Amino acid sequence: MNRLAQLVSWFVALLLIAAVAINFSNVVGRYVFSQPLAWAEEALGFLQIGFVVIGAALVTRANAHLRMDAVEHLLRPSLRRWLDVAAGLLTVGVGLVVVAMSWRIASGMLANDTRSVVLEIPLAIPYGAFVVGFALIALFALARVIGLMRRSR
Amino acid sequence: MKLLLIILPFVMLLAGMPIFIILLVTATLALVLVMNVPLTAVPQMMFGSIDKFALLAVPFFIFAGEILSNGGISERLMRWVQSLLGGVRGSVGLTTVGTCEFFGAISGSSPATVAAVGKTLYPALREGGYDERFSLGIVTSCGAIAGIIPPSITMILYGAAAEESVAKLFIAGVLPGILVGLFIAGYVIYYAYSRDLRPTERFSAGRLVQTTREGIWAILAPVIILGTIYGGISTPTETAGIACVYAVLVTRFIYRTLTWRRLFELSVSSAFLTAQIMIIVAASGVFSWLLTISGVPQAIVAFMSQQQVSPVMLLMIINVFLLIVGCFIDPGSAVLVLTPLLAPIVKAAGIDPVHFGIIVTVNLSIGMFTPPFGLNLFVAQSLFQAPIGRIVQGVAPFLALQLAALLVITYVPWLSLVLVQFVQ
Repeated sequence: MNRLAQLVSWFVALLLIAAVAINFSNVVGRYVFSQPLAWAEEALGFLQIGFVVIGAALVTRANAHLRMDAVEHLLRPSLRRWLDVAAGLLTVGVGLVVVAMSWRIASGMLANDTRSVVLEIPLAIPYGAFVVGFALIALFALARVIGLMRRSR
Repeated sequence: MKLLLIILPFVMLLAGMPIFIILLVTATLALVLVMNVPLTAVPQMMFGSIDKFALLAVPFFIFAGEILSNGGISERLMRWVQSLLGGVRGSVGLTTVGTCEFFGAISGSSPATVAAVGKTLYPALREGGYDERFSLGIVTSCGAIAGIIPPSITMILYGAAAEESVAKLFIAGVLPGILVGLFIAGYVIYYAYSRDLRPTERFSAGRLVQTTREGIWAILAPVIILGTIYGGISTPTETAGIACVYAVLVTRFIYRTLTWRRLFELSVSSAFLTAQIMIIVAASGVFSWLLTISGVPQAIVAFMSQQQVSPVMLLMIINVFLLIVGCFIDPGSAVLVLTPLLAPIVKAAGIDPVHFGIIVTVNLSIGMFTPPFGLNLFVAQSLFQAPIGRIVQGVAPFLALQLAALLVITYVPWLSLVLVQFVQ
């Protein structure tokens, strides 16, 4: 699981670096050569979807999603652990729903050969990021739930 | 059933569930149980929420801030500000405020500013004769300036949620950010005179030239970032991307403080921090779409107009509400969830949405160091190994000062809007 998380972290970092490079090339193209990259904005949007949705799996793995922990501190450790398990199970459930729905959209787009306006790449690819990202979110959340259950025994 | 959908998110929030899960669970249940809309709307709305060019400013500014703060920029800025203010009473305190203003113009992250500035200036404050409480208070609370001085992540998220120009918000945030700094600077001077704290060094033109030469690339960073936006040369997103390249060039090739390996590690941590914020942007997109199609904002606007609340009173109520929210929830989540509800109300009351964006930003920035759960308090606790109670005592006068500045910012819209009009 650690190896998978490391691979995911390298992948999202590369997406971010690619976004910086495309943005900079676009700025140079526009202001220096008066020739902006027509596809830059679309590509940047898709890259952002990639590093946000797939990167969120890393946040799940680190159990670092933003939340309000004001009341949590007041609870007994055992109750806190059960709430942690519930949050993990909800994350798995939500993850699987989003995977199923994104898969439906992506496979429909693939069947109809729906493509993006400028880059003309299959729109199934950015929707595929949701399938991959939320599958990883569900997987990492499940691993955490199992870890918590083992520790409580 | 509708009642359940109102109560459920609050229960989940109190139970400490991740905010993006709360938004997605509520939206999914509402779609299935109340609205009879296919669940494919969930990924579609999330896709639309983050497929926005303007929002790319968030990861780019986070990345640039990570590189610059890890590349020794804060120390160079601090030495430069100190050489400017060296001969003035309260110089170390004023250096703290000034460095936060400059560092805030690069970073936009309040806890990162506390860590970067506090690490060096807390010992200097103590050596300069400032007592522990004052020193803890100023470094913990001054980080809030970074959230107000553009570039500000909260402003970018407000711009996306309220469909307002991020460039206008950035311009509008300059004077309020300076005002907050001036309020604190005034208190520092009063403190220095009342304790008879002498300047730690004399002003030296030679030293100023030397620190300027050493720190010129660091000093130029905020000038480039803000200059290109305010000059209308590039959009905030383009500028943020340029700032990343500039940060790499300065820290890798000029100062040589970062290796390629470290830069790659920082791109991993930046992608992580981005995902932490932006997954809530994605989920809140589904939530706010649901609110809009179910007519919730319109119903609240109608209710508020029936109450005939004056704009002055409305802003006071919203300020108190946001200050309370800011004590418990991070600014990004708060602005994304609340803007779709609050923006229509203030628009209907005739309040300028750009001015309101600044009010929201200042409120939530104050929340970053407000007990019980302001994140800066815990950053300071771990950095300075001080009891949280003493830090809370320390921030109290600075909280009062920033609240006073908030009142001025709220009720003097000119302060936020004058530069916007000027630039237009």
